[in-house]
Amino acid sequence: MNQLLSKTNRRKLSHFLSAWGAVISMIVAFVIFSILQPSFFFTLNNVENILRAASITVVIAMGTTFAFSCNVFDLSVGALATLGAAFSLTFMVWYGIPLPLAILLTVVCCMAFGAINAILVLKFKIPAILTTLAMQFIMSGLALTYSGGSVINPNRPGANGQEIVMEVPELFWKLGKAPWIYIIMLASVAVVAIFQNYTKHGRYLYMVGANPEAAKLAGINVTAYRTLAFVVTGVFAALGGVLIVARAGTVAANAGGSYLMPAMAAVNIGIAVAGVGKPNAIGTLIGALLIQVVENGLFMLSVPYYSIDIAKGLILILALLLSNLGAEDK
Amino acid sequence: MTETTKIEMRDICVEFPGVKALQDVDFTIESGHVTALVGANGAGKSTLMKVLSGVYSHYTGQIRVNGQDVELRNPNAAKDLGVETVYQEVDTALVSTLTVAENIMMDYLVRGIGKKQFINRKHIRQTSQEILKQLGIEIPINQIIAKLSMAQKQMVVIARAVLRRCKFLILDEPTAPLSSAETEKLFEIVRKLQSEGVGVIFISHRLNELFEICETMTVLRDGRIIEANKPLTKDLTTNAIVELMLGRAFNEALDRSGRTIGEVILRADGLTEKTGLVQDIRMEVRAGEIVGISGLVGAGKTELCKTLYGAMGEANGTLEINGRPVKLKSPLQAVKAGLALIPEERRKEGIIIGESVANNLSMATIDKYTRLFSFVDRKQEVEAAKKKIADVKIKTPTPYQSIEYLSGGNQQKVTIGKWLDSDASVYIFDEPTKGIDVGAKQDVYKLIIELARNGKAVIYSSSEQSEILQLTDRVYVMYGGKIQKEFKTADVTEEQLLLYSTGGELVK
Repeated sequence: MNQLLSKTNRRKLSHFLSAWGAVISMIVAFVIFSILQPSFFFTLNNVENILRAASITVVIAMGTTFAFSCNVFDLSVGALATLGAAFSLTFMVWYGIPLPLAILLTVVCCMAFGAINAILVLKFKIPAILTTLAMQFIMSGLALTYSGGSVINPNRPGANGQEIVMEVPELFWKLGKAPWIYIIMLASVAVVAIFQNYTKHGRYLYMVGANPEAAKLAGINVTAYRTLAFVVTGVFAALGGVLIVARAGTVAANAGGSYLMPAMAAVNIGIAVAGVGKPNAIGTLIGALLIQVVENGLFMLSVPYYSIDIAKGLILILALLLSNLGAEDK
Repeated sequence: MTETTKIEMRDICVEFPGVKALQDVDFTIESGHVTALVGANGAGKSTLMKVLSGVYSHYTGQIRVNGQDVELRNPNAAKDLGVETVYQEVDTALVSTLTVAENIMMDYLVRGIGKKQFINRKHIRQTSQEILKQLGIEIPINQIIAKLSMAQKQMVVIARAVLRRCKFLILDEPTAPLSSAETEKLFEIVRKLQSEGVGVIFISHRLNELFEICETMTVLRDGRIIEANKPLTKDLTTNAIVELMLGRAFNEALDRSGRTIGEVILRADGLTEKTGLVQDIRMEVRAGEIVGISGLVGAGKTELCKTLYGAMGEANGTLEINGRPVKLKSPLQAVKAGLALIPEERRKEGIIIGESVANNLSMATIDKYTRLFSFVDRKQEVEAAKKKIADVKIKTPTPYQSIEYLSGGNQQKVTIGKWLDSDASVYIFDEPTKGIDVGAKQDVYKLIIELARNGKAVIYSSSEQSEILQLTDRVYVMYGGKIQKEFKTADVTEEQLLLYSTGGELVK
């Protein structure tokens, strides 16, 4: 009997760890870094830094969350964000398209790339992981070709000889700063969270993800929802791209690529948060914040930036271990 | 294997969160005997067998082998005792891309090979050939598993178990997907194993079968033993067994009255599936009518159901629903045209594991509970779910319960329940009672009759002739993807159905 009791307790503990591990680690990491580096880490300025950097991950990861909920896997989201960044800036600087229209056009272009992914995966039945892996190369190649292989700078003509025809409006740069960047992030989270939890389409997405055959026989258009997932991934990649350039001021080669891994990690950390067990917007938000706190903290501790990736990878593995812990004795 | 082995399980209890799956269960099995384990869905049969095969490590109670205490806390411990299980889903136990021989010899490949790096292909071929011959099984050993029928796959799994020198074999509903000829073949193998001293535990919902191969039976109900090792004598009727399983008298006659047969709702003419899986289907179904599709496993019944439902893509020929010709390219269009399908593979095609009962119940008709911008009115949704749970008699603590914790029969009621408030005019049931117990079966029959009373047209596909005779007004008999014959159910016997199902014809 004693043994049984300890077993139930152990099960409870593993459930608890799986559900709240991410939140706890984030708080613990925050406290540790604050103690170790009180003068740098625990400052308003730095907290804002963390939030701003996390915002971009969160926005891109909203697309990934959406896609994951119907079991769509998209590796091209980082490269697509690079394209989004390049498009939004150059549409204004090189082609003189006004700000709102430039952003709209960027979103449409990225949606089109998402649609190409969808066609390759759903119509031609190439496995999503391979399709989007190939598309990732195509997209980053396209971005480099488009920029002539160099950094896109709004104050200098393009490498392929494009003239500067318009100055970037001040409003655009504001998008990359508080409060706009937070508003965009929170709005993205809210839209996806509401869509997933309160609309029938959100319900359908989860059903398509969990059992496509049953969903199809219940009269749900499985292909349409999967296509939607790819296209919505494009929308958030475009928005993420806009934020990347608005924050950095220029578009470096493969600027979006570094967001792929944190986005994937954030979604997977988020699945276990609060015991939801499905990809969900709030969980992704927490996952992205956790990664950012650790990254920023390590940076403050003078860990070289090139070594921080090791920590990021370890966080993902830890998160996956934790969520397995909860799933084990289902 | 001349010495006998006896496994005694005493006071076995298994608890899951909120459920006592087994309470103080005693169960004994001896080598060289075939015993049946019967009980309604959720009675604890599978749980007990999973304890015996070491899958559930958290049981309490004692297990003794020949009087010595043993612990069965992991599957390997059970295997060391010689306990092997053949689950209904045999695919999970086989590697579909490898050959029959390699699958039979999996133990050799994994453990027997030791430190060697190269496999002895000749040894694999010879040993597997020998074991198949010994069991009288004729399957080419170089065939890929994926190309085998369900029955052949089972035999491969059994052959592998025999090779491991198993002393006890658990057969968990092995006959559910088998035709009668295949079942007979399986029984031959079981008898052979028995003569060689293997103890067999046989689980089946087809009670008639028990008399053929089992000497004794143990009845479980609600996690408790009702009868232990009762001899299966001829004077024991299946009805008596059902009474033991359900704990109440069981009345087989169905009340099918109160229906009015109306207009033709569904009419098919020359309907042919693209790849020819079903051909030249000519049938009609009227409002309030229950029409059976009879045939053996593999006759094309499921394919016909799915063709009517648009799940096999657009078919050739004509299909009219409510008098209007329709071309159905997908289930979505079928639903819009007024069809509903309760598919055969419940777990794979009917329910969404991981979602709640309420969410599963609303998946087909969620539009009824949505407001502006497709927002789901959860209150209304849960109210509707509660009503359905009461109407269909689903056993679940709350509508929020995750569906995976429900028994098979209750899961099936959910797959039916999700269509109850739809505007469908034709309901297609494909083997809806497969693998569910008699009590739940009666509930399902009553539901179907109720649908017909409400003027729905019902198509009922089943490989069990007795079911067709009990429930339907008319019946189409299928063989080889075609409709072989149409009967009025009142004018036909089980033998006639079987005859046409096997491709035969009455000579006048």
